[in-house]
Amino acid sequence: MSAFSIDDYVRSEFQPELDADLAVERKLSRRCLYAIAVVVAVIIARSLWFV
Amino acid sequence: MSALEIAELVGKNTLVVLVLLGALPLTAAVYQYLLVGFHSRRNHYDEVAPTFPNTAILIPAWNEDAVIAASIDRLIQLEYPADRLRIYVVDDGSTDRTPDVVLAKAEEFPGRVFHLRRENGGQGKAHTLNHGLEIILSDDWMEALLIMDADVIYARDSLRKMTRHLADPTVGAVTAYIMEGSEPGGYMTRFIAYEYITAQAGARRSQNVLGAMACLAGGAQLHSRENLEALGGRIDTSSLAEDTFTTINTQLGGRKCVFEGNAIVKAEEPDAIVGLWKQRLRWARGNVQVSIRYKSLWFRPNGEHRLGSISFGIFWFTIFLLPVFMILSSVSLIVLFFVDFPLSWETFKKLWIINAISFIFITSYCLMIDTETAKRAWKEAVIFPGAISVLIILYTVFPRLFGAAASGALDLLNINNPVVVKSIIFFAYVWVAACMGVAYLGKFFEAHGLPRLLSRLMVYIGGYGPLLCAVTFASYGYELRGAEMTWDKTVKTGKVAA
Repeated sequence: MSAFSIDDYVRSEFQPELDADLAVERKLSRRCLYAIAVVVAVIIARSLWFV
Repeated sequence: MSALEIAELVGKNTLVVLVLLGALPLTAAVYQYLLVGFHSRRNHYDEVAPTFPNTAILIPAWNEDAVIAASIDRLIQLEYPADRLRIYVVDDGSTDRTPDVVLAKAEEFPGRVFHLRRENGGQGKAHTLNHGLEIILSDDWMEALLIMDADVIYARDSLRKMTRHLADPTVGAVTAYIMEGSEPGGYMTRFIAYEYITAQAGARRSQNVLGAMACLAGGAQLHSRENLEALGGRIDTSSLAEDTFTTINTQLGGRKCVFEGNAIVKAEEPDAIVGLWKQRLRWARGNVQVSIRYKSLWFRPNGEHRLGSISFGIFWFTIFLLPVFMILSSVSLIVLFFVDFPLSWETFKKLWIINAISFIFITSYCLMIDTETAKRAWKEAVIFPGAISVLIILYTVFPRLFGAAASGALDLLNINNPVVVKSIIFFAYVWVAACMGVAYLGKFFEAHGLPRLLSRLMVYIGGYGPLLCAVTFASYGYELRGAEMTWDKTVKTGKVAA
């Protein structure tokens, strides 16, 4: 395993890594909306069942 | 309206409110997880920068020969400058091969791994940490300190993802996502794996959004030197919740605690109920101690920190008092059953509609927060409240479908009559709190050497969530009678894949 270089990391890895982590957070935000959609779907299904 | 009628009306409405208060903890949890959705906008990533302080890793170890070598090897492989990383293992009077293993590693990695021996061990983790802290702080080399457990395995990029937050001088401590990583895992570790999505990957993101952290994970807490010195260079030894005390004191001192959800740390958790019970009883008793010690903090918003915010107080106390809510709700339902049965049934349905919606949102979202863990633990996520509670949820959500199924089953057994139906309803009212007792039976059976299948069955029927509530309930009793604070170490066997 090669030694870790701070210069190489700062130059080529830090920003892409940060962007990837931010992308994860944005994905989790979208998934929160999906979960809300699941609840809405269940509520609609329940209402339709009563009709 | 006569005075008697007014009293009856007030009494019934009070009971209805008490029943519906039973839905408060789950409703608060929904609010908490909705905040996670805002984490992409409200986080600490705007303040990060490449930061590589001289970092001392402090590992308390007592009889950890099964796991310590793999942990050290993995730490050596961290993607972090080798000359800025030192590993200190505080051997807390181990009686197994831990000293030999650590000394061998110290020889293999001179200047990077250090063995610190504490001859009179067994006083608990905080004392062990303080032994190491005293030595590490006496040298000004250390700029940041990572406190971890002997068994946890850090992803290679995890430490640098944590240290980048220390670029912001207002940050005192950073914690990571502890993921249950036993391979092969059992049913209990799968329950814990799902629980950790909810309690760590989910809840701690929401605490980032809120700006108030409840607890830095014991297996992954990175402190700046300034923070440690401001804390007096010592970890609190007067309670069973040293991690929470450290977290709260850090924030009271005006320094932020940040959760880094993309820094992954795998840990081995108990694979049996008795082991889980001991671990969680310690945590739950610690929470009682925290709730009392910081009594002047709760629900008192101020400009210096967010620990006194209403939201944080609700999150803390709905978990802390969850068994009380369940018992009050159940008892109120039972009283209503006898004084006004139709009202009791309507209230019960309302309670479970709220619970069902909350459960569906929380479960579906948490499974989407960590899909890797979800693949192996989704069944445990679904059955988390217990099989009978899941049946009640299904009945509440689809009353015609499941009502017809239940009626058909009673017909089949030739017992479909009003008395039986009312008895089942009464059972459902009792179940709101009795689920804790059934889940506790799982622990009781296991502790008394009954077949594990039986104890496992009790947890599946009663629920893993109610089992944790039973632990919390037991912790009240331990603290009320001032039981001795003993440190029951969680046994680790090295099942986490490196």
